[in-house]
Amino acid sequence: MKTIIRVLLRGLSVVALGAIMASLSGCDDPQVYGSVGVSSGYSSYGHYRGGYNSGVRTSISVGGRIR
Amino acid sequence: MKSIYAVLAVVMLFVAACATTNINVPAIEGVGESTDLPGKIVWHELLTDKPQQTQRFYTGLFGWQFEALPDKRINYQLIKHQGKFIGGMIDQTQLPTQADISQWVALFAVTDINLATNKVKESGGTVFTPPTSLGDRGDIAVVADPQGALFALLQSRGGEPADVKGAPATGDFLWDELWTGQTDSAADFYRSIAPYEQETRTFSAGDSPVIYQILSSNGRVRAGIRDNPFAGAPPMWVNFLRVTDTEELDEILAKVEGLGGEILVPAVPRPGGGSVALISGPSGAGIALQTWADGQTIGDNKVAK
Repeated sequence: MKTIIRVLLRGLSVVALGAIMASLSGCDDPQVYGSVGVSSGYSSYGHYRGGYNSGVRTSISVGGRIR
Repeated sequence: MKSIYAVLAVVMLFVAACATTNINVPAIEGVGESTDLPGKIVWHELLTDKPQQTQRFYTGLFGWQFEALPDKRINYQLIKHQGKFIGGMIDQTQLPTQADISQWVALFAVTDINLATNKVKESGGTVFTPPTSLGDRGDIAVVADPQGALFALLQSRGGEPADVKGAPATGDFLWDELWTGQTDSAADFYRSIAPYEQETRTFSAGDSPVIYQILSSNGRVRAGIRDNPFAGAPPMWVNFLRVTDTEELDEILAKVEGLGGEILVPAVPRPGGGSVALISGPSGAGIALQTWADGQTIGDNKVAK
């Protein structure tokens, strides 16, 4: 599990750097949410599906609203 | 990792300098019904790199409708559910990035966005987008808390949508929850940007207790903060949609993969009753589904022992 996450995080670092380069080229046609895109590569748990699929599915407590 | 943040901060200066200021996004439905409700999560934005598939996915699951804005520069569609606008969808492919950034972003109401943004900076958080006008929508800032969880601040023009007594419709947003490794310091941070009251609860999940912080404002519960269930995963805000019962949840989950999504965590019972599941749409943006019965009380911040 830890190994998978570490690999994923390393991949995200590369992705973030790629996003930075892409954002600079976007200045000619600015988008109001463009900066959201650059910043958010770290936070999407959709990126962590490898972790979810690694035998931990049924042991996860997702939480949720209490009241 | 810190070096990347530093580079990001520099780049943000460039992006901010390029930002347009004449964008006009409609006000959130119901704005003006109430006085300011700082701390209320008033909106959710979905970033997706597969907008058409994503539309089909959520329409198939919940019957959501999507309405594009006339201003094509924004690449933005309003999400309508049972006659009410509940969020927005942004076509990520039109953004100046090629990274996979698909995800949901929660917008927190604040009364003074400059003050709140400064609090983020002073507390060690990151300001990715400084306060920026979205026209009728108000002023938005995109930030991350000191642990790195991404969210947005919104100062609406003239109050927030009023709190309602009943539960949201099935398929509407029910809850927002921060997964982080430092619940106490996270709670302190969010209390610094909005007038939250904090309540700490502990419940069992397997062999270990889960510390759960509940944030309330103006007499209503607003969000939760809990230990990150995925050790090593970065902190993140997780958004919950309501489904009525486990039968409906099973029916929805049965459609997920056929519509191009993925079941990340299948339906599991919650300590407080009901069930919850975690899914992702075609773009990989994750969202949780939680059962909440029609007659189940909701919203007040009375401590339930």
